[in-house]
Amino acid sequence: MTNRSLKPYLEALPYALLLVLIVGVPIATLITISFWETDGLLLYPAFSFENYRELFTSSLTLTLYLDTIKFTLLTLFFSMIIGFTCSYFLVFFVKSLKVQIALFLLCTVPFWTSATIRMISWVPFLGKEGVFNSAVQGIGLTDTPLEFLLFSDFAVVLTYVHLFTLFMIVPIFNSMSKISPSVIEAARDAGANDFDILINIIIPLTKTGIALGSIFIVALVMGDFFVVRIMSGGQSASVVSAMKNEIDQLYYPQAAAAAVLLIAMVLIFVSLILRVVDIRTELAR
Amino acid sequence: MSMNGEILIERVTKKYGPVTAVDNLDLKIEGGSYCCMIGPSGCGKSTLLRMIAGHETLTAGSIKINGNDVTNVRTGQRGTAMMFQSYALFPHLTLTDNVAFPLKIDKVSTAERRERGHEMLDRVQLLHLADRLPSELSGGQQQRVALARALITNPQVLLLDEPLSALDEFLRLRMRVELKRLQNDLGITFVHVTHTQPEAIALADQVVVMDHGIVEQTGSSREIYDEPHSPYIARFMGGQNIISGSVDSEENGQAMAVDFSGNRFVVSSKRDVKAGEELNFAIRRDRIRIGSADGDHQSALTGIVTNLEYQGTFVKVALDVEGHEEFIIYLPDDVFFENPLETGHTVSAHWPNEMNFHLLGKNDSTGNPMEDSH
Repeated sequence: MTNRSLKPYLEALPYALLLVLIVGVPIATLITISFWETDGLLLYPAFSFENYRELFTSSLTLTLYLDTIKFTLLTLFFSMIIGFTCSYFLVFFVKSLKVQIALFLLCTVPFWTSATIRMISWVPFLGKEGVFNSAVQGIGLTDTPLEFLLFSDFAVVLTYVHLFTLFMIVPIFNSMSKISPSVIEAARDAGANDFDILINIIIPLTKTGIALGSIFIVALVMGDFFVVRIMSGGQSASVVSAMKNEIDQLYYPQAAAAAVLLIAMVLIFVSLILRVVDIRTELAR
Repeated sequence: MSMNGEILIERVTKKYGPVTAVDNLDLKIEGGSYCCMIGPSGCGKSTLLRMIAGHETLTAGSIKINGNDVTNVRTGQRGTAMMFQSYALFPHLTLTDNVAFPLKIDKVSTAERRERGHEMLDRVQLLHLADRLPSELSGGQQQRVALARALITNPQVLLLDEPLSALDEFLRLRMRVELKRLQNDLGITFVHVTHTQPEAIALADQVVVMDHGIVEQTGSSREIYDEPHSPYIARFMGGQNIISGSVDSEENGQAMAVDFSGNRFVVSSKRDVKAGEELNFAIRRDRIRIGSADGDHQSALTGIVTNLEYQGTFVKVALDVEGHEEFIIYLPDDVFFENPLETGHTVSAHWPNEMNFHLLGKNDSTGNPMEDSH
């Protein structure tokens, strides 16, 4: 091999090493352990499909995934609507760049505190004796407190949307602000009204941002256990909270097998998204 | 009255806060003509174009197309189409879809859209690229697509915002010819905004020179070039030397003007002038000859040759004349080489008195002339 043909490989080497170290090794470990056996105290290296057999035959797995996917889709839906609307307003209605940046930064304010605090702060607001219920009863809209507000699926989705919508706003805002104003004018010149422009120009040109945001949210929601545990009051579980239970009981191989399945599921989701939007060519445009 | 896209602009004003971009402007653009609006950046020409298209609202006044008041008619319903400076193609659509976009908005069926889109692409010789994306095209090709998209709705008025400025010199000259030919074929009104003087002169049936939001002068290319209204027009369109002086005496429409160095000139005055009044006049650079004046009725100046530029068909001679801005002479190459000059020589220049063209207008702003881009 000549020096010349070796060069590109050498150039890629540091990054490749880094990737192997921080991605390759942990996942390889995970996959390895998922085939091991345990008696609840010690781990025994083995090559057994028992963990997977258990995982795929348990009806719990299906229930957990259905729940998690339900949360994911609901969160995607609401954060997409909010993210798109916020970006649309920021990009097309706020004329001054300074105001635009200020409002954009305002969207990030909640991120200045920890996610846990932001989540917990919903509790006194939504609770039976909470701010919202007192207000609703105070003005006489209802006699009994609304119980679905807290420790429910509603609370879980609300918290997810609150925590993660920014991950949708940022990429959508980014791709929307790249749309040249003259392109929109050209559409208007062709007779298009605001709705035509939204459907034919803005949404197609924002697809990349929507896809990137969706990938973030799928990964975040499917990997969460904390929000589900707190906000559902223990009534719902997620894939990861089940995994956490197994880890607490030192069932590492079972948890590892569940983790491998989760990675596969997230990959399927992401590849579905990528199938709809070709992010690489869109970004290169 | 022609029904081919006559545009009547009446007392139109456009203000952006305290800034007046277009100031109480009246203009008539003949239907089926090629109109070039020219002026330095910030003169209001683009704003006026965008108001005709409906991309800007008027602060006051009205715009009529074919006799119909379109002042408050929605963009896209006025019978106008605009070609943008940056082409503004839709980056996510193929060429066919780009060109047929106005038809899609008109709810034309997919099959017909495709057919008419292809027809139009064929017309601009891009049919073989029908399924490509705009990003895969060169600048010149993108421009043809933009042109095709603008023309697919059969507009009566095509508005072109600096259409050639993004192209290289070679393509610019070629597209210039194509635009002119297209306008001839279609017989619709073209309104073309440019800041390049040769472009306006070459293309236009009607040139509109703007400055500070008003029309400084409008007329045929020849009128604008040969009979400028003001020192500003003369400078902006180029090809003229401007001499400023004051009136010494006036007799039978012949003013005797004296410049600041005491040179005396006879100028046919276009209005009554009084002694002591300021007077500007222009002399075409290619009407001036070097050497001592032979006979009466000649104006003359003496200056030092500061620069010589060979331009092929002529030689550009720059003279430093006391009390004047740079005085330039275009000598035909054969005349120049009969008797070559050198920089540093003191020479006298002369021309017939009747070449002195009285500039009536006061506007003395220098604008941004691109007079030497021949």
